[in-house]
Amino acid sequence: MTETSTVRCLLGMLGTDVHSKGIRTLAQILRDAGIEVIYIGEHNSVEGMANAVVDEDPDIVGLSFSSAAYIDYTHQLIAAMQRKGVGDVPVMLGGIIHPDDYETLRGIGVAGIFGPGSLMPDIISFVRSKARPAA
Amino acid sequence: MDQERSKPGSETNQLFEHLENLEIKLTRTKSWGGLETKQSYGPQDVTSDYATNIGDPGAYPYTRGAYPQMYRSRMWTLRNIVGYGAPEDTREGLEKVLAAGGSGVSIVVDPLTTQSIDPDHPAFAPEVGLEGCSLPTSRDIDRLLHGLDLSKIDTAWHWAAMAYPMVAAVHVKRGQDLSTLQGSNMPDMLQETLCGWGQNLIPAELGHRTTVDEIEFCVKNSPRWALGMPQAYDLRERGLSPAGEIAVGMAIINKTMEDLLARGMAVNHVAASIAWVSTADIDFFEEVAKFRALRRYWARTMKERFGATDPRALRLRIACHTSGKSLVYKQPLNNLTRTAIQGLAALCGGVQSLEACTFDEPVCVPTHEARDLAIRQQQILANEVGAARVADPFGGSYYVEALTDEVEAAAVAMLKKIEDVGLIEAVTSGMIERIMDDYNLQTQRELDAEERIVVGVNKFVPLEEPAPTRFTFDPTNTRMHVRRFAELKQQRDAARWRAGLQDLYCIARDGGNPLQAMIDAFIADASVAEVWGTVRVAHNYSYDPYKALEAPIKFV
Amino acid sequence: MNKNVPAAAAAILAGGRRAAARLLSRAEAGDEAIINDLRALYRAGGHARIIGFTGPPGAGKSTLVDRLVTELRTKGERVAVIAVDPSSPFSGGAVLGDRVRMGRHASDEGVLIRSMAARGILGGLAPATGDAVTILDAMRFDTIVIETVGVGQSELDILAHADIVILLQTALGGDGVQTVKAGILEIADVLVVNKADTQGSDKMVRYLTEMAAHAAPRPDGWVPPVLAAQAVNGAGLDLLCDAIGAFFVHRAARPEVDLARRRRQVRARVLALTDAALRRLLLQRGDAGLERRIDDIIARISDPHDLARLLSQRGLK
Repeated sequence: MTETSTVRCLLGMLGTDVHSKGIRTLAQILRDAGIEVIYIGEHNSVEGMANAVVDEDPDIVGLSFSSAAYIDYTHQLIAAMQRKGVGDVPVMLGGIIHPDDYETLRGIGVAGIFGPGSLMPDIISFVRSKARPAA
Repeated sequence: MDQERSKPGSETNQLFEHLENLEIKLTRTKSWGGLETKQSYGPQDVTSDYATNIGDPGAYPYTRGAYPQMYRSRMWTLRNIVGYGAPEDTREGLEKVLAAGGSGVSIVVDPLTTQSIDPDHPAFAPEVGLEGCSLPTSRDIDRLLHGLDLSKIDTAWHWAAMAYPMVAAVHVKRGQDLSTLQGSNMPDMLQETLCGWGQNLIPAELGHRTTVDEIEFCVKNSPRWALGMPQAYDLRERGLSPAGEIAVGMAIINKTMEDLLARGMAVNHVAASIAWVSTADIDFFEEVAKFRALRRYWARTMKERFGATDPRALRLRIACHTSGKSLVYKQPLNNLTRTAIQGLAALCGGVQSLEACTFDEPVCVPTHEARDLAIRQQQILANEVGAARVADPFGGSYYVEALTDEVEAAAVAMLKKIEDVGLIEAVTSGMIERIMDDYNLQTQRELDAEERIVVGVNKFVPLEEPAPTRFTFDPTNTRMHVRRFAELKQQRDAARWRAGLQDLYCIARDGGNPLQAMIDAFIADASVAEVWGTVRVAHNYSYDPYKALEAPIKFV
Repeated sequence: MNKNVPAAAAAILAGGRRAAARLLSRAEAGDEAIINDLRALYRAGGHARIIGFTGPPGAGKSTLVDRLVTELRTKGERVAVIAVDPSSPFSGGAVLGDRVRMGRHASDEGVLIRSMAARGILGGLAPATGDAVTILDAMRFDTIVIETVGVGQSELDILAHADIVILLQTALGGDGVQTVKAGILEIADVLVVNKADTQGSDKMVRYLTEMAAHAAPRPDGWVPPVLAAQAVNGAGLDLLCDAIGAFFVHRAARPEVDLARRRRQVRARVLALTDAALRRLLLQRGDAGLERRIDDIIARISDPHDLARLLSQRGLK
């Protein structure tokens, strides 16, 4: 018999972006919703974040962007995750994501997009929906 | 099937029923910053004595304004920020702004330049020229400003420490004297540590020290260069109430001033060169109260804590950029309403320069059209609304005077907490970071509970809307710019460049003021990453804060 | 080597990072199906040194661990870090942010960092910490660092896993000396006063040194050294490494003391496992037999002792 599966969500940022207040607030909101957040903060290299996904084995990875470089960086991260054998971990994006890019992002494998004005309950349900059965 | 529903007209009945129950109820009586308010205010709520605690405009303690005539004697500077791509691209944008009637040149640099990272850094190619102009060398600044005499026009830089030595390098290379250089930057580096940069990018001690070095050097050598301190705009955006702005900002000012006085500078001299970089958020009355409380607290602090006697040191000048985070992505034209109100709050608050966000700020780098509207907004405020007619129009309002006192009291309480621990410790221990995180979490909870209503975010959200247009520009110039940068590194006078960095290293390592050496290094074609990296190494930090690159020379 | 090693364990013994991470998640979730993997991995282990760091929040543990990892890497060691943070008592969730301070090691294949939430009632170590150590040990990491916040039980919990316990304190808050908990000298093998440039640090170092000198002698005869450090710039790190080295030498010269400690640790680990199993049993809903017995206890026909004895006699099913 297993315990109720606790969802583990890795949150972090790539590139030089310093606008972490959104993801920091999200981390606390998710915690208050019973989720375990592995918070890796700002300024992660693609390699470093992909390694974190391997070693932390989260149910879902969340990235936040405030600049327009998100397609490039997300692409690089997903490629690195695939190389390291964790390409199956769903990736969600938040921040200033333009609707015109949604299709491209889904095409490179992004599972969830939470642009400006996204509601917290929606993000929480999405994260919870990614809980894997323990076995 | 419900019989009622299929009757014609019944839908209309339901709609009107709905309307009968519709009432706009106030969900919140607290100010946006969290101060509780009463239903109305009267004379009994104003406890400040006019003569000692309010004063006339232009008279100590300057609550009502820095100058007696305020905008009648001098209109505020209308600034619009520009910055994207290569220097050539930003120059084009600059010329458009000036043609539309903007009176100030205000430049923002890209994230790499802001962080003193060169555009050829292996990890960050996607970000070169985004959100700001890529300016890795003084030659690039010269390109951006060619034909513009820096002793005659005032360039404002949304950029911290490296802006001054780089622009100064251009000025000196053109054969002019540092003392004639006009302009401004925002040398507040502790603010960077606090606002998401972190200790890896800006170690608190080094950042603070560099700020003090730069202010000391500027005040002595370029008296016409204004220093935007603290950079409270980003502090607010990160997560502080208006009272919090005053508290954290004054903590930074107090420590900076103490260190400058310890170096033998005079408060009268230093304070006069400083202008507070502020924001105007959406709670109109609270922001007006904040500007007033800020000026009063500044004046009192300069006089009582630091012994200032010169009015130029006691009266605080304020530069305001309206709040970016308060703007909403959905139905962005609503942001014109927001920025107009925020602009009006800043003017009623008596600021000396005003930059309004464009309505498309949440979406992208401002389009030219949006920038145009932002300029017109200020022109309407100046010429039609009467915002310039009378100094401190809210002076004497029972509500605003009471709110001014409350904002000040809340600020003083937070400032005490910070100073009890010590500013640097409050930064490195994460105490201020926690204050900001708590504020943001509280705000989010209030949004989720619909106690705090933001139109287009948690209420009155349009269901369908076309995707906003975004600003695009041709990346050709940016690519050329990166190639040109690589070429410069090959072609520059290597001996001179090397000597420049070596000298800078020695001075920084030995505890001297490195600003002159920085200027000289920039003149010798060192890049922004090379100059700041050298200072970092001199203080025993890694050359590249991202640890991907080594220093280009071995320092001795 | 046992040829019947289950698949997940085999992958981990072959160096599979992802397999290890996955097994660890399943251990955290209390998945009983992985028992054979854990048993195989345990038998393959026993080589790593396990260093425990504990202390109050804000003492700078993660920063110090970051520095220690750097130091160990220059010596060629492969290092794993288990960073434990408390779970929210209200929601059960957690923000695990210790990795942020160890970011420089993120791209280093010789370092593995795993964040774990305590998932307990009063903080302390995560129930799956023991399994995490088992897995990492079997992967041939030379040193495994367990970092935990010293609230509630956790200072005691770490004794069950660590070969050496390092306690971090700071003089912040002014009355730092008074906040040092009684009994810490029984837990800590090395005491570090971090942020040594803070006012009051010298006093704290002196106070702790005196305490250590005058405390009742430990069975192993070790007197915990008290060090001053500044994790942010690495000051004191070399002394810490020396102290750790000295402790292991001291320990190696006293095999009977070492054995006694290991026996205590085995008991503690087994207790933690049985506790966890018993908790799962007792907290489960829907077992009609169990619910009836609970009703009987409420009705005072039976009593808590009856049920407890029944469960311990029956064994854990």
